[in-house]
Amino acid sequence: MSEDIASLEGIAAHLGGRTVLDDVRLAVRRGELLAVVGPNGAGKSTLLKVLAGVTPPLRGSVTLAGEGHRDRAAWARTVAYLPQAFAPYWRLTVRELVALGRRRGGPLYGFASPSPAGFDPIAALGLEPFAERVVQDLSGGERARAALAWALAGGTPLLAADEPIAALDPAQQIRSLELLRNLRDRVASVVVLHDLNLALRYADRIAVIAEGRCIACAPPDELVVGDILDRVFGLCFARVSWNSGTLLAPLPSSGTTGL
Amino acid sequence: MTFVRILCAAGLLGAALGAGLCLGSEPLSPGDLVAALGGDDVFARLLRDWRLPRVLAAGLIGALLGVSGTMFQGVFRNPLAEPFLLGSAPGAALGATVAILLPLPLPPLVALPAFAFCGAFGATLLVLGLARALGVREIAGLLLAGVAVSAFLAATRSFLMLSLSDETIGLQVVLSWTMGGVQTPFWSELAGFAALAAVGLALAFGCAHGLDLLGLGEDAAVNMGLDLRRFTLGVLTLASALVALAVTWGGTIGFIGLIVPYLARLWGGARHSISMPLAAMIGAATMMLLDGVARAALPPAEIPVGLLTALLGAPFFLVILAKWSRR
Amino acid sequence: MISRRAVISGGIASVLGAVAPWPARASGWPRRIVDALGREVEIPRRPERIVPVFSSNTEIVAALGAADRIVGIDGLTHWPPEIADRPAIGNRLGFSADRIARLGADLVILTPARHAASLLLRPLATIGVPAVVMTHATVSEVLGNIVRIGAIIDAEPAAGALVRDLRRRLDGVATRRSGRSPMRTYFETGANARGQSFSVRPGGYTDDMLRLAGGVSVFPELSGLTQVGGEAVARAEPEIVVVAGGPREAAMIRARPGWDTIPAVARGRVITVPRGLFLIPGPRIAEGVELLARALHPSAFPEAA
Repeated sequence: MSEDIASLEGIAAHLGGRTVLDDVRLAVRRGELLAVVGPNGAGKSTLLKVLAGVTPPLRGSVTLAGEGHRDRAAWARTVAYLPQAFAPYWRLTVRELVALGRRRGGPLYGFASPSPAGFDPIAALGLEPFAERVVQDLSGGERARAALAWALAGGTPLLAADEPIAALDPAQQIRSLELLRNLRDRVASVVVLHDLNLALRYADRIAVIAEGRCIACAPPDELVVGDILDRVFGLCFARVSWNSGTLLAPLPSSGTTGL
Repeated sequence: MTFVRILCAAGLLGAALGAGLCLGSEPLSPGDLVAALGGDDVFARLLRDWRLPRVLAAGLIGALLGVSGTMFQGVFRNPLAEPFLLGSAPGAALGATVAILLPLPLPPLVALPAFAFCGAFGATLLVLGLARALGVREIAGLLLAGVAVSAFLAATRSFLMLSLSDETIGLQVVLSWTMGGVQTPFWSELAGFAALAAVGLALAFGCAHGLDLLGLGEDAAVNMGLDLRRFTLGVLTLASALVALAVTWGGTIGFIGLIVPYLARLWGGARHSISMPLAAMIGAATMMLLDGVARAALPPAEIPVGLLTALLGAPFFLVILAKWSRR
Repeated sequence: MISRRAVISGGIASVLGAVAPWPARASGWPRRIVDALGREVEIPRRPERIVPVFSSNTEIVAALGAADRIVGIDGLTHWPPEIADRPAIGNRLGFSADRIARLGADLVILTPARHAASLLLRPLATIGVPAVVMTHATVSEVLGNIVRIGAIIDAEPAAGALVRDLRRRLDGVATRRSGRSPMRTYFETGANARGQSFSVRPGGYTDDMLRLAGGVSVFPELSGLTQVGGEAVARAEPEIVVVAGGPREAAMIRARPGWDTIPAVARGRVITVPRGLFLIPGPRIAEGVELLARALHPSAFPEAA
């Protein structure tokens, strides 16, 4: 069994004729929580879509669980993809949505049987009070948790989640990331995050994407030492040591304010 | 819960069947119906061999329209998608017109559904192709493309009717098709119709899971294992076939494919594995009832049931439009 | 279904020619008849509950003395008065097999107009009610219909007597007006408020009646649509205008813009004839021919003045 659950080699992708990914190399290890950070438009979402098999890459290859070409169903059973701002079109209840999430990679026609799930995502995400409510009627935070529950329900060894906590309050953000961290032995996660401090605190490794390339992929304590983040975001971060970690605080650009 | 809903729908179906049998230009009370069915006079024969197959045909048409509407809505992820509005029903009517008016070396029972299918499928592809070529992605644009294509198809059909018009039965049949009226089949014809409908509906129910996945968005559906192109094409083909079959026996009956899926979702929830069978049953019940009303409203004449569904359906469409645009 | 054109009408000679081209054996029951659509219809026993659809068929059945056996009629039929209150099985919008079955009909006589044949033949065949289709392309065929209906409703003697009487009257008109040249006539069968007017269809039974009465249509070439315009009427220079209808229809003719320039209209040569006598191919056609002949050739009927 390979150590990598997924690896991307020389990935290039276009979106509407524009190059959004160019020669990306990235491996996701089993049992890790990998945060993907980078400025807007860097290609993070496209990277996740390529990883999830939604967008076929123009060049390069995706290897899942050590195997080369995989069929659609096998891919579906390996990577669960949670799109940005995910919401079902029809008025499904939370329980129905999660039940649907269990049926990954089933036959196209006919009723797919649920994959065995070792844990109850509704309970894990504290959704019991809303289980019979319609997803569209929930608040933004509740909806985001329902979406995460749906993505986790399939029991895949890998989750690719695009900004899954953007709509959550700080407490819920922490709770969700802690859940993913606790589950990482069962399901490795690749999570696009905008909050660098949460990435530093919860991720095992952080991949930095800028201008369609993966320019770094390293554990948080390595990444925080250098100036990669400052360069990528075009900002100067103040490093504040706090408890056992480091907090980043963006400062106004130096030299322009005349201080 | 699901079981109870299906049971309720089955009860509704039975009640609609009874009502359909009671309604007509000679209405009956349920008690009279039971007594009359047992008799051996002309009226009993009318009930058994004319009104009963007619009611059953109306039910099948309703089931087909309800399920095809659910499929169109599922594929387009929009409650406003409807076979009548997306051009497939007008296309089927054009195909049927060609089959009726042109001398073809085929028996009508084969030529009619085959041509209706070609028309329905061709029109759907035309609408989709136009919408794509014009860069339209929203349902509003799709419906407008449907309006344009429908107008074109209707004009073509009118031209065919004018140029091929003759004092023969053909034109009368085409006219009744245009307004939407259930044709009464002989028992043997009904058996063939029912067999085709059963196969079509079974295949349609098989698409339930894929439609559920599509309802999560295209990216999520692809990630969960859906072959988007093949599935979409397959569903549109099948839905066109169901529309063609319904049009063959009922003409262009609008809005059933809009109202019925909406009611089915309201009642049974959004899962297609439930909403599709419910749509079939609600559609069947609705059509049996409306066809009965069409036969009973202006005795001794019969009004085209397509007029009734349009009268009921157009306001319904506006209600759904209002709800949907407030989303 | 055969079209009307399939039944070709000849000249006046054929109008009064031999009758009863159909095999209608009048002995015992069941009786079999081949109707105007070529369908073989079996009538199992003497019909006692008859539904004649359309005025012509109703008038024939009533004229054969079987009015009391009529159980249902078309909603637009008002003649003869004694059957006008029978239940209607159809109207302008359609016909009801339900109602025919409810009336317990054992014979339906109909004409392929207003979709009656396409609406009724299938259900009636399914439920086993014999239905006979009549067409009436010519006066000759109308007389034949009387014989045929007589055969299927068991009224052969009455039918024979009626046809003989009608023939005698038509022959009488022909004798009276012999030697006079036919009057060039614009015969208007109908008009509507949108300014459309319709001429008699050449070769039809109404056209036959016009010729029997000593007239000839100024539009002998019309086919299909019989709509004509005022200019065409003016160019055709009719000697007289005959309108099927009443004073209102005659007034409408004079009120039409430009029609006062048509010499016949300007000279007041506009007469009306009752629609019931000319547009219903039943036993009243002889009365219609007599009426029109007197109007077209008053000098041939000195006692009528």
